[in-house]
Amino acid sequence: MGQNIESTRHWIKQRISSILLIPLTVLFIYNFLNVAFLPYNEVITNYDNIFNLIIAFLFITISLWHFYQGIEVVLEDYIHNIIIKNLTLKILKYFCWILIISVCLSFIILFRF
Amino acid sequence: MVELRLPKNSRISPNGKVWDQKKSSAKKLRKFKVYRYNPDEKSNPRVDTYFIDTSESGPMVLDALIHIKEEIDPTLTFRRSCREGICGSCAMNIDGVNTLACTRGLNEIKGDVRIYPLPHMPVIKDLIPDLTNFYKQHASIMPWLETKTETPEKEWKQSIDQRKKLDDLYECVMCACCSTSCPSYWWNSEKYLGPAALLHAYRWLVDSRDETRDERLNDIEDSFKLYRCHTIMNCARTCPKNLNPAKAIAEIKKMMVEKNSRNKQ
Repeated sequence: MGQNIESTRHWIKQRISSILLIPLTVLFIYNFLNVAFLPYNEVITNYDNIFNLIIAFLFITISLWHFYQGIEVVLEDYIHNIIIKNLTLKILKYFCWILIISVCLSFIILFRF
Repeated sequence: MVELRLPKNSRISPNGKVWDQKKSSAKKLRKFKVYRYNPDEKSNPRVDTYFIDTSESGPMVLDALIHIKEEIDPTLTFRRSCREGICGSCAMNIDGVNTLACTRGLNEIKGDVRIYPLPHMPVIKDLIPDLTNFYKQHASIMPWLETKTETPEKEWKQSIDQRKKLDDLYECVMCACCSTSCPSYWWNSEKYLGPAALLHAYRWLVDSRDETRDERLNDIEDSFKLYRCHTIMNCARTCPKNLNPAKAIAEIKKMMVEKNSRNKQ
């Protein structure tokens, strides 16, 4: 038997991301509802505001981070075959990174143009 | 991979026996559906039906089971001892809830009385689950006082406040109702310690006389042993002694954070 600090770190990270998501979700939904029914150009103008852009970016990236942490635990719970488990976790990790990079790029493009 | 259906040899066969001993003079006739499994018969488990005049038995489910064993079917097998919720032997799934048969009143159950062994445990016979792994996990948390200083001549002293911290923890009778009601324990019973063992671990962690807190925390600091608790709270809901293992586990997690930040400094 021995300690595994990483397990505690994982637990702390999950708590931090969920706490961060409380205000971010409220702000993101508020912003989203404000522009949801507006024409495309006005939506773009809204995201010219750096504050709105940062809220949207943080909400999406932290949501993905939180999603990955949660799904990691779920997969550990239900998949007992180590090879399948590790493979699924890796695929999911890459999937999350691709989504985060796509979000970054789209926001950079949105902000610059 | 998680299995959504029971293994073939564990599925309940529809050929349950009906022990029809209805008496016309019965005052309070109740129907009991009891899980039966005998490894010697090499057949699947079944659910037998018994009819009992509960005015002739005692008021508790255990009394009815004893009545069945003595008057109707002596082959029915179950654990029991104290008959007052102290020993934890008669833990079983009654009317869909894990509880002690000796403290569950027949009048608390509406309709047929359905009695099964504790869920997700290997069954030795009828209502007797195999608790070997459960006890092994309990032993792994070192459920005894560990000290480093010399043993005092008379006794290890404890203030009233220090003693109070053990309330709602020491009462656990190790009946396994909580652990076997926990879905996380169902899927990972080999690796996750389960609510009962962790409640006991916390009982020793908060004991002012114990001097191995960090070692105890290190031993259970593991993504499976401790962090499989997803605060589902079935343990607190089902505990026949009204204890709250989920709260104890949450406290251990807090202690774990404190220990790690202390060690960092």
